[in-house]
Amino acid sequence: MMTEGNYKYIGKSVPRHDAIEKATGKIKYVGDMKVNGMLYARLVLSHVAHGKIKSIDISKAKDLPGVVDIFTYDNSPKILYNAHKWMSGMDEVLDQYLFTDKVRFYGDRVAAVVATNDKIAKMAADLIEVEYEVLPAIIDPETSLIEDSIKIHERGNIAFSKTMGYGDVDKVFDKASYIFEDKIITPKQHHAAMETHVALAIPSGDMITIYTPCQVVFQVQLIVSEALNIPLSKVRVIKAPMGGSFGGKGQPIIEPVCAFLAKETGRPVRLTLDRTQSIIGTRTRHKTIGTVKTAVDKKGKILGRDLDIVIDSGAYHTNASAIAMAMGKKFFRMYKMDNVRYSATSVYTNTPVGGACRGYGSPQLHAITELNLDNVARGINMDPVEFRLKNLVHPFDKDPMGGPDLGNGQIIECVKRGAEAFGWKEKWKRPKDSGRYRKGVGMACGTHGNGYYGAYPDFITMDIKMNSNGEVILNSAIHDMGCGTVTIMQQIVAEVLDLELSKITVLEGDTLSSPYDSAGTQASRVTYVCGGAAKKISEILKDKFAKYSSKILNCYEEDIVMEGGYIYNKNKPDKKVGYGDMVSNIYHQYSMDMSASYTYSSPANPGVYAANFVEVEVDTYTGLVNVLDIVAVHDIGRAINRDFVYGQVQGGIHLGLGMAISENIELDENGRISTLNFSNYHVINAPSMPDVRIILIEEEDEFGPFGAKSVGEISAVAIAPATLNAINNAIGTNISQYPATPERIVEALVKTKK
Amino acid sequence: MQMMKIETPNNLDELINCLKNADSSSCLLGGGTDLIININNKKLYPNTIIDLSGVNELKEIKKNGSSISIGAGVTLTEVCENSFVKEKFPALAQATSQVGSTQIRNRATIAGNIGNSSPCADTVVPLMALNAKLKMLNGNGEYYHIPVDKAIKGSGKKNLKPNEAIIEIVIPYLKDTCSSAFYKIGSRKAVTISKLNGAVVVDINLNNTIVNAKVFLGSLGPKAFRSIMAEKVLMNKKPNKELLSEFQNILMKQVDEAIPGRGSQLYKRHAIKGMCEELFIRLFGESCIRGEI
Ligand SMILES: Cc1cc2nc3c(=O)[nH]c(=O)nc-3n(C[C@H](O)[C@H](O)[C@H](O)COP(=O)(O)OP(=O)(O)OC[C@H]3O[C@@H](n4cnc5c(N)ncnc54)[C@H](O)[C@@H]3O)c2cc1C
Repeated sequence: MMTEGNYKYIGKSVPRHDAIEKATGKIKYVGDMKVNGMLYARLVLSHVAHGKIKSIDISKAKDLPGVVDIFTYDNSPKILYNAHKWMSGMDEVLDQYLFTDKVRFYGDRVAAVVATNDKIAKMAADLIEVEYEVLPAIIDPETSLIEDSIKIHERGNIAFSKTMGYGDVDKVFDKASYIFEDKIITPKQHHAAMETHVALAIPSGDMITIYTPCQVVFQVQLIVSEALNIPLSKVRVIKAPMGGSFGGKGQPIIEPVCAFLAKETGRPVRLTLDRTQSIIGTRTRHKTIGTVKTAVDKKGKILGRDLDIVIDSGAYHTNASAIAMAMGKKFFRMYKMDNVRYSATSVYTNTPVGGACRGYGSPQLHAITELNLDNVARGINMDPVEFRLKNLVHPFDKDPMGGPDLGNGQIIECVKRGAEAFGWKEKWKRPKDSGRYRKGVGMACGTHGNGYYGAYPDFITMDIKMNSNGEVILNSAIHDMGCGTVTIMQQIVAEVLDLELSKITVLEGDTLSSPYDSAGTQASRVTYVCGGAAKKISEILKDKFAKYSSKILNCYEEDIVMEGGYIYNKNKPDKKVGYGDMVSNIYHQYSMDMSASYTYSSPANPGVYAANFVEVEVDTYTGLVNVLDIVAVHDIGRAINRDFVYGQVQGGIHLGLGMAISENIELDENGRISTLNFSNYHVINAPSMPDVRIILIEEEDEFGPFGAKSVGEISAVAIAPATLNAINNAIGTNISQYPATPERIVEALVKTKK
Repeated sequence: MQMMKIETPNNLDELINCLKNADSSSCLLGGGTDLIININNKKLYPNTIIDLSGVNELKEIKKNGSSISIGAGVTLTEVCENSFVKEKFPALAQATSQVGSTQIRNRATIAGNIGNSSPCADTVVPLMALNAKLKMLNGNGEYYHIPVDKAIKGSGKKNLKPNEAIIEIVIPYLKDTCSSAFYKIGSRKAVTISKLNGAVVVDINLNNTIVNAKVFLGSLGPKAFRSIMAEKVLMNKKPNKELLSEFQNILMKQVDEAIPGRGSQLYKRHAIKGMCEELFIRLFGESCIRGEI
């Protein structure tokens, strides 16, 4: 049953707090910020995939009037760090310098120029001549598995490996009558945020203040402190308005460099990357190659699964281990199975570096497994929807690996509701087209998490106070990525305190003034964990306010009513006192401030689920795919802001469609990259973006604020396999490499004809 | 940093003066949708830019006795929305309407598309098929006409002297029995660079027989070219399903001859079938290929 909460603010589609500023162009992104004496910095990135730097000739660049300084490995700290580390005490592989003397990919950081204006900085960067001793490069991750004569790092080419599972997989595969195996490749994907990477660092005294559109202020502070060997207290990081991240700005990539440049020059420095540098020189979605085997019985019960996945970490480690673990965890939380094995190996290659990218491995995992499941269904002649319904997890199932409980997971309901809305049965049974244009349908399921509980410390401290105007300020290190986090927090506080949104100020991350948060905007934790904290601390404030007010109003605490900014004794409804006046009374009568501080530690990490249904039309001549219809059904728990949820789903679908049919960072055998900007790195553009029909299943979660669960990442998980399943269904192929570009589709068609 | 000089002639006389002094490091600026990008990418660093946008004489579409002339300063949006162009030269209207995005078309010009000389330039293919001429002006104040093909060397190189400018694109009227069409295939529906583009002009008699055909293809070599073998296939035939499949086969052959062994050959020889079908639909209507004629 859907619980229709009787809420005033929760579930309402109020606009985001900065909508007007953004729409009118008034908001100041870091790229718009200017401070007195500011210098401009540009990077020089490697143009070979693997090589030792023999020499760097900076003379021409130095001679350019306006160039202030140039930095390379020669005059920068030689401190290894790993930008993935977001919390002190995390034991990570340290393998990256501010500037390298050995380049490991086309895009590795070689030098930075600081100049009095941006044009000069760019020109000077182009005048720097780097001479390399070119080394043989490893581009293909499978080569990296076996090749040990080429060493990308001294520690060898295997960055991380792990096998986990339960049951007796080998035995099942020995006996099973139906086994289906697929090898599936997913691409390196660029996040394609509208705002490229940018940071501004301002030195004053021995303190450096950094403005950055980042996801984790405390991580930026930590990495800058470690990479530059300066105390945490001397680094202040302020989260700036964000022009899109999708994980791409999760790891502090340019912030330590920018801070270093400011420290050395003693002047404010703004460092900006252009689109090409953002594509090649930041982070990418990890490419993966997965070999998946599924054993089933005649009736379509999954008996066992075995997945062996090679993860292309690129040239540096960053989150090579975390991504492998994150994918593995999801593998066990989607279908009920008795025998499962997951083996992952992350390898170094001479290619752009992997990092977080919306979904953190879940899109790749499901791209592999959900494609294979359609082949299983086809093999045993079963409708893929029925087949999945037979095997999906049920609400309140346990994690078979002992991880956090799945909670009220509604994937079965998602599939049923979606199939009905989509008209799956009729479309699935429809006779196949044979002409030039062929329609097909596909679907896929996906799961993701709600924070770090069960894996890493997941807590946030929040401070709240109500002033004598009856206004509330919530202070914590949250980061609005553009998805409406600030407004979500306002809505939660508003609901608890029964106060209009305009009276609630929600601050964002500033390491100097925000209380500590353990993990930032990662892992789909913000609404679930930080929102949970906002609810809890609002309740604490409410209780405190009620306690003191009851003394002033001379009544029982239980009789206190807070309503629309007024507080009163329910037995004397004509004697209403404004929140602000009451705060003032409490100041005077009890010398007490209406504030609270609380550290909220996440109590759970349930699964969120989604089912996507896609209808495509494939042009068998040109290989172009026209996406006709998408139904996305989400197990959301409770939508705090319905339009925001819709926005997240649309955006996730957009990113996943790109992965399905057009997005890929292309490398040649020497590791040179050809997709250097949007003229040939093709995101889905407006004319190609279909409407998405969104259905929300609102079965409240026990622990999320008002029952809410995450949506930001899960929305990008099921769409790629659903789309590729639809394409394969349309044209009778078994394309197993994403993206299904026109060329791949034509090639597959030509092959199947033979 | 070297300074860049911008000349802003306000009429043809001033333009002649600018052209007089032009040398190999001068550049004409139309809409700038190629030029500015090339400058930003440092593929080009002209000393002098001659901005044509102030020359009002170049902003007109004029109907003459036997031809239409499109000024070098006319934007692609103006071309593709012009009702006369749409009616008389659908191939050109279609091509100009499919260049880039709305924003690009609001700035870009045909002259710039020719001047950029990209192998996949979309307006070049129909212009060649329509037998268009370019009216030129040089620094000596001389006016003369050249065929489109002569202005293009290929692979992004134009075949024009620094002191000459395209001032008009002149397209002769077709017989009333003629029709034309353009189609392009890129990697997505819109805002896409052509992987294949083609234009066909046909003359059909009262018997529904093709008595004259011009077929031009782009994106299959350094510059657009005429496919005589395809024209032969169309000549003296009635447009129908069978002819479409002959047309497809001959253009597949044409692809094989144009780009043998290229990585893109497999794709293009297959995809061109789609282009053929679309061209047929645009020229002869949907019904002709469904076998209803
Ligand atoms: C996002 C994007 C999408 C695009 N999509 C397409 C597409 O789909 N199809 C396509 O064909 N092109 C496309 N282009 C390329 C470009 O828009 C076209 O080639 C356009 O027609 C160029 O016209 P322009 O007026 O902007 O030329 P400019 O950039 O002003 O000039 C281009 C060249 O022509 C020369 N030139 C300009 N005017 C004259 C003249 N009067 N006489 C002689 N030489 C001259 C210039 O010196 C320069 O060398 C795209 C470009 C962008 C940025």
